[in-house]
Amino acid sequence: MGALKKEELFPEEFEEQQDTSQNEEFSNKDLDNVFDINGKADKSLSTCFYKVSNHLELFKIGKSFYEDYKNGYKSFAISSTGYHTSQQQTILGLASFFDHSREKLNVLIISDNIFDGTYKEVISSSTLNELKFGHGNLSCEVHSFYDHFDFLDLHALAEKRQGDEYGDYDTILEMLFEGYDIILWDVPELNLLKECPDVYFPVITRFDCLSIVVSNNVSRTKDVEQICDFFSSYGLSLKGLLIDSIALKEKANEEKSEKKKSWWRKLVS
Amino acid sequence: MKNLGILLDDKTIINFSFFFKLLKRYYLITTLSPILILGIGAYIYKTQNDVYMIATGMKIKPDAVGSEQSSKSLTSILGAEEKTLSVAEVLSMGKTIDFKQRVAEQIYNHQYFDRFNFNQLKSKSMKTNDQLFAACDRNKKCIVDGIRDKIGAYVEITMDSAVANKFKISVKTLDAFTSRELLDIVVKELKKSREKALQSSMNEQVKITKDLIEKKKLELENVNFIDLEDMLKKKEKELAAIDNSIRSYNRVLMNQKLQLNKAKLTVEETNIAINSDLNQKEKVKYQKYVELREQIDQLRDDLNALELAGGSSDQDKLIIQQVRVELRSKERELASIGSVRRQFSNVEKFKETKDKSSDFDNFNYKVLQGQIKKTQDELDKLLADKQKIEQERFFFEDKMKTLKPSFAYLKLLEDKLVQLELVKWTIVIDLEFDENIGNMRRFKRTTIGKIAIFSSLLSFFVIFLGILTRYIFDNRVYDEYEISRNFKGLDIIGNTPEF
Repeated sequence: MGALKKEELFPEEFEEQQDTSQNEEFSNKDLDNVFDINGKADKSLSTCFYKVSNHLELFKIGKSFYEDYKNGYKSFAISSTGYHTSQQQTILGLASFFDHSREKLNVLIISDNIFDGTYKEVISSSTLNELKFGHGNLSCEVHSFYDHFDFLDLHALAEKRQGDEYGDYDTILEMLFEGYDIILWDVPELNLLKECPDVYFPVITRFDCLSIVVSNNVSRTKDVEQICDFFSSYGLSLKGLLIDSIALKEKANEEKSEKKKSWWRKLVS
Repeated sequence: MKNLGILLDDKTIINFSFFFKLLKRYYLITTLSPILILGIGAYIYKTQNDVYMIATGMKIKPDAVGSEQSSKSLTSILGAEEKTLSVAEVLSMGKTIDFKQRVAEQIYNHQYFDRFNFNQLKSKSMKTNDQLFAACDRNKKCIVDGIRDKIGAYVEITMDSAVANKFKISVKTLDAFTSRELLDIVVKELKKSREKALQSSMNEQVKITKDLIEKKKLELENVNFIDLEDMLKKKEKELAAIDNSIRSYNRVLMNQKLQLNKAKLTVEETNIAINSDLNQKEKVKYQKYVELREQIDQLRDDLNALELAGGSSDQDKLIIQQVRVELRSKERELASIGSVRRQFSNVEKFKETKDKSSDFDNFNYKVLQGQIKKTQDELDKLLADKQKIEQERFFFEDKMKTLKPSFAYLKLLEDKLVQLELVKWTIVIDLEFDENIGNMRRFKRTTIGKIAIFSSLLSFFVIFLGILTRYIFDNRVYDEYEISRNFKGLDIIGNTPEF
């Protein structure tokens, strides 16, 4: 994902984005306008889905999540055993899938790390909008990638806490949960979750289900079990496992190079 | 913890497809384990010393019971126990401490003792006897004990699977000379020890029998059994003699009685004959007989005279006719009277004889009466004596009856002692050894086939165990199948998208 170029991802919007990003000014966006039906109707279909090299795999997992959505789930948490790139790519892929659907779903990606990794370049192509709630009394900032999906920085939102009180933090989360159709949570590592329970506990309680990205040959059973046990103790239902494609690709490459090796080198290596 | 159930399968018990996957995954274990094990196996095979084995056959004689056939029949008559060697006894013959001790002593005394090789069959390096028994410091007892402890591993008596009652004595050492000499010593010692065992058994039996005889004799002497027996025999002889006498007297008495009866009858009949006379009727009959006889004679004379006169007149003929009729009539009458004349003449003659002998008959009768009385008295006396002797005999018999079992036992013991003495001096061993000894075989203690099979099996086992252990301690997840089996309840949604 490091080589991902926004002009490659969204070439038709690239020019328009160029103009807006130069100004870097915050445009106020009324929450009512953001989530009204008319707004959805105006939303254009994205071709991001097809930018995914293994879009068939994306379709397969997207369909699974979409069925959950149809069954009433809307808050999907994606965790991993340390594969942030794959985790972020999965979230972006799923956002693209939902964006690709004809239902014009409003998708929000919440992460504590939106300025790094795969998100970095997409964020750089996004516009910063302020969402207002409760007749303008409450607000938060989201990075809107055109009208496809939004990003929310969890750290920024967590600052809304007032001392020992959750204050606006919890309220805004509740409003977002109600306002968006789909919320994709980029779950940080377990250590972080355990270190800052005051930040993450309100978040965890809002997860409908959790999917874990694992990597063949790398992920450890113990790590996966730890994640499962941790979230199960919060009563969260575990949706399933996603196999890391990057690791798979690397493994395929390794096997290819292994085949080229002579038998004695294989033994030595 | 990983789910070990993944390794099991409902149908094939072991999940082979997954196991093969593990074989491929942990290829180092898969390849190195058999190489290592087979290498060790090859090393073990190569470093083994050659074993020299020599064997001979031995069998239990089918009719042998520790002695010859004749002795067997003797022992069977005596009811002695037939002690045949059992299979277990034969198999354990070479394992007794005494046997090994004797063999060890013979080896020690062998002129080429230094050439014997007492290294263990599995030993890698060869040691000389001096090295092996260095701790003994040339002490004979210590060395013999050391050899005794070692030879158990070299000598083996096994059962022949093909022939009944046949056994194989095999000797295995690391040296051909040692094997050959040891087998020779073992065979000789087996013969000796068996003979000794049989002799010892017989001696024991003789000793026990002698002791018993002495004991019984003492018991019987205390109750004067021998005297009783003699007395009984004496009485029996006396009784037999009296019986003979009684029989003789009885015969004499019977004869005398018969003679007396005869004499008595003679006297009686004589008296009757003398005193009796022919009755009147008989006399009349005789007179008539005489008269008729005279008349017939007269008539015959008349008839003859008439016929000679030749009268041819009818009157003459009628007279002749009448004379004839009368003659016939007189003859018929005479015939009807019978032989009165002979009877009458006999009586007269008998009376005449009896008159002469009547005195002698009476005397004879009286003598016979006297003889019978005397004989009867003698017989009565003999019968009285017999009764007395019989009473005495009953007394001795009754006393003997109580002692008879002990006496019979003593007799049997004496018989047995005699037979045992006979058997003792005719003992031959019941083991028959083959005259020829088999060829010397040279081989490795563990064959290459055994090592190959064992190494292969061990390799499989080590691979299985190694892979299983590696899998258990391998925390990584590898593929969807493993993930699905290890995390039940978690579905594989798919692969992550890649931009």
